[in-house]
Amino acid sequence: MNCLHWLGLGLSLATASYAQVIVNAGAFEESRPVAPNSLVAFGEFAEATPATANTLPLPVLLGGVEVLVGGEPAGIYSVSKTQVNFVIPAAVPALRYAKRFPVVIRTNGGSPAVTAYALIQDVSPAILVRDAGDALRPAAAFNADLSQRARPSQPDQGN
Amino acid sequence: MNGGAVPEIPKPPTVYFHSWPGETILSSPAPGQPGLWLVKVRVPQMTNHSSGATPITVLFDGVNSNTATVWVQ
Repeated sequence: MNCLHWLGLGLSLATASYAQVIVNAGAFEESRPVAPNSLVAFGEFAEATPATANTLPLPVLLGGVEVLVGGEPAGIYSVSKTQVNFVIPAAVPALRYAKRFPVVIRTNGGSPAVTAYALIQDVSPAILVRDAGDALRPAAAFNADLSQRARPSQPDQGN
Repeated sequence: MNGGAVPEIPKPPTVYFHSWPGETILSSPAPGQPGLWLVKVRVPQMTNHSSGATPITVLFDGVNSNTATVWVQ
């Protein structure tokens, strides 16, 4: 039977061959670029004060943390000591072919700071997954009635 | 028009279930969720494919996504 699925797609993904890696926050793959206007993740920033944004547009200072991508301030979704989620600014000049941009994650005031690198290109689609630790990578997909189709532990009960 | 280049509008993304393309019904930024995109797609008839775990990928502007899984019946 045909049914409709909504699929959330982060249009990008980034990676760096350095110790600090920026990845698409949906797919968490390190092997492809990220794109402007896409949600990404950075790990391990011990100086962060855990916080989650509750306003739009997203704040550029959250939990005492700010992120600069190629010098452009990024809107931040959430910060914790193990992960910072932010959006690659639209102003970053993405190219058809990936180019490496510096990403500075720092506390308000500028120190201490971590410099990572994001490989950015104009288009880099990625499907959101619900559990990056699941080998089957279940997609963040919904039925047409917006009910969720989680990975079943038994045969599907859906429509 | 001043003779400048006409911006190229990319085609909507195509979602593949196995190798079968779904019909893309909607493609737009996800409301209230910066950095995320929303695609509404009709699951295609998949000849000789039994129900269950189905790999999906997205092709957008010539670039392939990661592979994820949906469960279809």
